[in-house]
Amino acid sequence: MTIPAQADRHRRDRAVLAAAVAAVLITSALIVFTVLKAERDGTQALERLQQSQVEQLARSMNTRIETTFVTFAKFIQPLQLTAKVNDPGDKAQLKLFDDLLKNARTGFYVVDKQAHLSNGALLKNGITLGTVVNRPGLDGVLAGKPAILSVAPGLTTALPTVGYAFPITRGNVVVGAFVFEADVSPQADFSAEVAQLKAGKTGDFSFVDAAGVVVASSDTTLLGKKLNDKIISARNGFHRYGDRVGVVEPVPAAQWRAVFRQDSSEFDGALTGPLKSALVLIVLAGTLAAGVGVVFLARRLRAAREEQRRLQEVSAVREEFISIVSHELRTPVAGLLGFLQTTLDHWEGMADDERRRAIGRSLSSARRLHALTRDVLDTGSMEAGGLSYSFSTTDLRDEVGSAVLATQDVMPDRTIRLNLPDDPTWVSCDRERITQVLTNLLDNAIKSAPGSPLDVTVATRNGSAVVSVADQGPGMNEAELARVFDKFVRGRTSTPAGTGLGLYICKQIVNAHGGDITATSTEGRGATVSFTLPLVAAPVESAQV
Amino acid sequence: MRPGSGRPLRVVIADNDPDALDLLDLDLDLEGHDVVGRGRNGQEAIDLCRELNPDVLVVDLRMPPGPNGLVVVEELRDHPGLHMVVYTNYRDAKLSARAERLGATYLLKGDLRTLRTVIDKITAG
Repeated sequence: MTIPAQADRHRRDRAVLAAAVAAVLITSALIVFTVLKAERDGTQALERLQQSQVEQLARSMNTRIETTFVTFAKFIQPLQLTAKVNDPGDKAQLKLFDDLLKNARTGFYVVDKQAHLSNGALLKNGITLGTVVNRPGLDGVLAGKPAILSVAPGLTTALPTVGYAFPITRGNVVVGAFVFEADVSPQADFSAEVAQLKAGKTGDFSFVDAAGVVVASSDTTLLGKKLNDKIISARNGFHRYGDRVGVVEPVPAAQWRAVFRQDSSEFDGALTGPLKSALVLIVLAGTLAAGVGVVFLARRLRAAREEQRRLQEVSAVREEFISIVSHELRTPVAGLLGFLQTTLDHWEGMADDERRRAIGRSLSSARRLHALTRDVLDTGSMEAGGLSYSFSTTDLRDEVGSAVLATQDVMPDRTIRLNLPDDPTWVSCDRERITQVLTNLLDNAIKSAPGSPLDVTVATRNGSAVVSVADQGPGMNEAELARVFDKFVRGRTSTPAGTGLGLYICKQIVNAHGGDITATSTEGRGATVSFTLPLVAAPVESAQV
Repeated sequence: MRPGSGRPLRVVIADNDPDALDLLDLDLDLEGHDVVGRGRNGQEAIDLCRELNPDVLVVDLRMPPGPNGLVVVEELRDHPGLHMVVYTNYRDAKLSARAERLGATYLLKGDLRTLRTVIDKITAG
């Protein structure tokens, strides 16, 4: 009955543990999933935000360029320019711009239909009218379409320039072009503005023209140089490439592109770094808490199971004890009654010595019954609060000698060798109880080692009297030795009789005297049970003798 | 002269308690029976019965180590002419019923007169 119940409990315990582990795993997975989703959502939001910023920047730039175009157009459209080289009429009209050019770093020029330089303001030294201007994109303007010319060496500054170029028409015929140059340098107005858009340590914002040359940038070292980055060839939008992120947005008014670039670790780190740290912390804390919880639960289960097992063991031992005691009590009762009954029923047929022997056997059984009942009653007293003792100073040799004699009397065919010291061995003891201990040890040895001679020795060692009872019987194995003084344990498995209380009671009595009791044995080569009692001074009357 | 009514029987007794053996030996002897064998355990009981072919075996139940009284009865149930009595301190209806099924008599120790009566019935039979 016990085993299936235990198996059920073990199955239940395992199920509880498995459920706890599953709950921990599911919770951990949910946490990880939630954090990863938050990280993904956060990253996407960050990407959208970045793209939106660059879009806005590009749109703003586009608006500015368109406004600039419109402004220039307003100035240029009313003019009636011929675009002829060094035309005095043109020169007079262009004087209108002198005010605009005060403190300017760059100027403007006019070319005729064949791109000959025909007029200009703030032209560099050495630039002569009539020479052909080879500026990329200029031919498109001369074909009638206004444009912002790509970065190229300027005619009005030593710096690289972009050119705001407008066709000059007479009627519907293009006769030339007007080009206003703007330098590409950190000092340029929009360069200064873009320079403030620095993003972290590795991020930069730039505007590149149609040829891929940087016209404005938060990194001023890039100005006027070709941007050597594959993001240039990417379509518009947000991109991840290698260990970089980039955003490209168009500035259609100038055929430019706004470009943002940054190391992805820095870009993501702003958001995902803390998230990852939080995730690691949460997972660590969760794992630790779950681990502690599971260990705690497992320990509780193990402890509960252990306690249950112990209680079952105690219960089983008690049941066995009751069975053993009832059997052990019946045995001497049967002997006592039997020998008396036989003697009475056959009184006439028995010789005197036969009757005497039978009555003696009855008496022996009665003593055995007495000893057993005393063991049981003593155990009850010990559990109820302890036996009472009456101590007196005693020569232990007398007690041991008397106990051996009494045993020898009952078992005349057994050899019991007594080894006593010459000097008195004074101890303080309850004589009756110490005799009980000695009788128990002798009875045990006799029952456990049939036919074996017994050696009973009294000695002194380290301030204690040591009494040992040794037999040459089958002895005990280690497991039996370990439990030999436990209650209800019948130490030697081959022992036919006994309540399992004798050595338990001996230990209680010896301990109450301040002594100790031990058992040693080599299986198959006998056993020795020894107990110690503290030596005391000789009584006054004895010392005087 | 023996007090019992029937013929004298040859009896083997087996018990691990020497006092119990001595008591049975004495009483059965005084009853006029012949105690031909004394076993100290179950195996000795089996061996003595097979060797001596007694009329009656009186056997204790619990005799560690070795076979108990019921195992002895089971071993010897087909032994010709053998009547068996399990004589024990264990009051147990299941054990008693099992002994009866095996053809043995189950008796509690403590009352020698009942044992004598059972053996007298065997004698009469």
